Amino acid sequence: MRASRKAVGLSQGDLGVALGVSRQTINAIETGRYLPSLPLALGLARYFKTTVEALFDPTEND
Amino acid sequence: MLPTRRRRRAAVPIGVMVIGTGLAGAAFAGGVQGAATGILLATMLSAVAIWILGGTGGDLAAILRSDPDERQAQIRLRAGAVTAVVLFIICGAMAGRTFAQGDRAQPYLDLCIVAALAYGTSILWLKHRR
Repeated sequence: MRASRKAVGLSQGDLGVALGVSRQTINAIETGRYLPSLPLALGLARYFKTTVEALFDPTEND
Repeated sequence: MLPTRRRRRAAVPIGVMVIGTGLAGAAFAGGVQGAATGILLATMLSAVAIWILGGTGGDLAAILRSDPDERQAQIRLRAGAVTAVVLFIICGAMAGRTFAQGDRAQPYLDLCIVAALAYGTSILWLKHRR
């Protein structure tokens, strides 16, 4: 997910504001310390115009 | 009317003040003026500290100003559960100690019973909620 965020030039704080969560939560998701809820995962996928699988596939390197 | 964010920030300090003032009032009514003053002072200091912390950034601030996102709400929920378990263990241990001392009054046992009933009732209630 970090790669997708960086590709559009957003900071963690900006993405958090866009999705209504804190910067810390975006950081926790990116570092694998927190698994987002289904609505948040779907929101992230829609935001990056991709799928949840593509965004959170653990086999992919981000 | 205060904006929502400020109202949320004020909610926890106000709650602390209400509980603390009630306790201090009870202590004062019971003739323990020293304790009443101490409780009131500690309550006021805690409320101010929580208000100040609620104005900062980070997870703790969001939780303290009752404005958490889903992860912070999860942290708050888990912290509440851990607190409840710790209190239950302490109540159980204190009930055992009170029994061992031969006391008839069993406030700790009563608390254990209330906790067990609350746990069972909340499971029955929450399993039907979305």
